[in-house]
Amino acid sequence: MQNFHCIWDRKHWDQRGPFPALAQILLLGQSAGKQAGATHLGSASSDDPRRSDPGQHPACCRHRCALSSALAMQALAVLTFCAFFGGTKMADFNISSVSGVLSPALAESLLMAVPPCQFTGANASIHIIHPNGTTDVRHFTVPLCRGRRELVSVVDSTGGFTVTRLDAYQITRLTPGHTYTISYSVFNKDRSVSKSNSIAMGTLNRVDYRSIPADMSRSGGMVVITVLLSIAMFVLVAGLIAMLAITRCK
Amino acid sequence: MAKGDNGVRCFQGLLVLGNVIIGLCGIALTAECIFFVSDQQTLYPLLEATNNDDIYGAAWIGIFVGFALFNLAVLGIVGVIKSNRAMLLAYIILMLITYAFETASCITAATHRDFFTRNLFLKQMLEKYQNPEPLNNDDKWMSEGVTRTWDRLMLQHECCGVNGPSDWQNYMSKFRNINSDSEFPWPRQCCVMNVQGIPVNLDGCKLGVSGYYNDKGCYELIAGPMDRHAWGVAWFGFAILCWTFWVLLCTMFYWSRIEY
Repeated sequence: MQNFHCIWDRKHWDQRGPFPALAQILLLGQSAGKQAGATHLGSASSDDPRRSDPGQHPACCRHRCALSSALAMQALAVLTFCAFFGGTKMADFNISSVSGVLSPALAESLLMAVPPCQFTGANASIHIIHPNGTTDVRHFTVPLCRGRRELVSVVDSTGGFTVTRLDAYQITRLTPGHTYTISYSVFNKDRSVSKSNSIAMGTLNRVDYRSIPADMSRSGGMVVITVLLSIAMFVLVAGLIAMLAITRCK
Repeated sequence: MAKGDNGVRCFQGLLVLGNVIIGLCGIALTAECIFFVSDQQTLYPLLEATNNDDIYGAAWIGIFVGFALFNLAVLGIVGVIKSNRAMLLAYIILMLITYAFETASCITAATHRDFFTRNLFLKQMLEKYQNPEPLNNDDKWMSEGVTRTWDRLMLQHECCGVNGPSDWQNYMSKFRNINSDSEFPWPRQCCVMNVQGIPVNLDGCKLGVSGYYNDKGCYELIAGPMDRHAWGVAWFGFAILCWTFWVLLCTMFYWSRIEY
C-alpha cells in the first residue's frame, strides 16, 4: 500500500486561496513508478480552472485546461480524503498519553507513551509546541521493546540494586494550566522520517491554597446539645430558686 | 415528711442509687478524658497548628468534672442518708456549678468537632508541611509539628495527603516551593516502602504507577480518632448530664421536704 505525503503549497495558499493551491498540490507516492507525484501542475495562473474562461481559450489551451480541471478534481478528491481522516492518516504512527498511572498530566509535566516497538533503537525527537507558539525539541532514543512493554519494569535486581526501565517520556519544566501540542519524529535507518500525529495535552491547573475555603460542616448534634443543655441548666437554676423560695415561705 | 416513712425510704434509696450512678459515670468520664488527652495517635500538632484544639480543652474540663462528680456523688449519698439539709444544700449548689462546667465541655466538644473538614487539614498541610520559611518561632514550632505528624501518618498508615497524591499537584504549597515537580510530585513518604523503609520503586512512585505509591488519602485516619474523641466527650457528657438533671431535681424536692 502506498503512503502518500500530502504537501501543501503554502505560498500559493496564502496568496490566492484554496482552489489555486489545490492545483499546486504535489502528490508523492512511495512507489517508484509514480515519479514526483506524477503531476506537477506548474503555474497556477494558467492551470487554475476557476480563473480561466474556457470559451476564450484556443483549442490547445482548452485541452490543457480540461486536463488541468480533471487533475484539479482528482487533487481535490485526494485532499478531501486527507482532510477527512485528519492527522491520523497523515501520520505514520499514532501516539497517546500513558494509561495506568495516577494522571498522565501533572502540573508541570506530561507523560507520553514512547513510539511503537517498530522504532526500537532509533533516534527520535519529541516536538512540544507551547501555547505562545514556540517549539521545543528534545531528542532521545526509542527504548527497547522486549515482550510486553510495561511502563516501569524491573530489568535487573541483583546485589541489592534495582535497575528499572521506563517506557514513557516525561516532558518536564512545563507551566501549570497550559495546553501543549506534542508529536514525535523518528529517524529511520533508511534515512526516512516517520512522524506521529499531534495531540494536545494540558497540564493541571494549580490553585492557591489560600483560596481554599475554611468551611465547617455544621451538624445537628451541636444544636441538640446546646439547646437541651441550656434548657436543662435554666430549669435547674429555676428549681433552686423555687426551692429556696418555698423554704423561706415556710 | 417524717424520716421513718416507707415512701421516704424508697425515695432515699432512689436518690442513693442515682448518686451511685453519677459517681460511676464521673469516674468513667475522667478515665475517658485522660485517654483522649494522652493523644495516642499523636494528632495534637495538627489541631494546634489550626488553632482548633478546643476539643482537648473540653477533655481537660471533663477530667476535673468527672472527678468532681464522683466526690459530689459521695457527698450526696451521705447527705441523703443523714437527711442533712446543709449537706444537701452544699451538694446541690456544687453540683449546679459542676453541671455548668460539664455543659460547657459538651457544647465545646460538639461545636469544634464540626470544624474538622477536609479543607481545614488540606489548607494546613499545604501551608505548613516542610515550610522552609516560618514567620516566627511559633510558626516554626507548628510547621515542624505538622511535618513530623504528616510524615509519620503517611508512613504508618500508607496514605498520602488529605484526599490523595493529587493534593500536591492540584494546589500550590510550601512543599512545592522547594521541591521540583518532576523529582517530587508528592513527598517520598507517599511511596510504597519495603521493610527497610526505602521506596520499592522510586521511579514508579514518581510517575504515579499503580502499586508503587499510596493512592488513598489520610483524612479518614485523622478525622476518625478526632471524631471519636469529640463525640465521646460531648455525648457521654450529655448522657451524664441528662441523668444528673433528674437526680438534682429529685434532690431539690427532697431537700425542700426535709423537716428541720
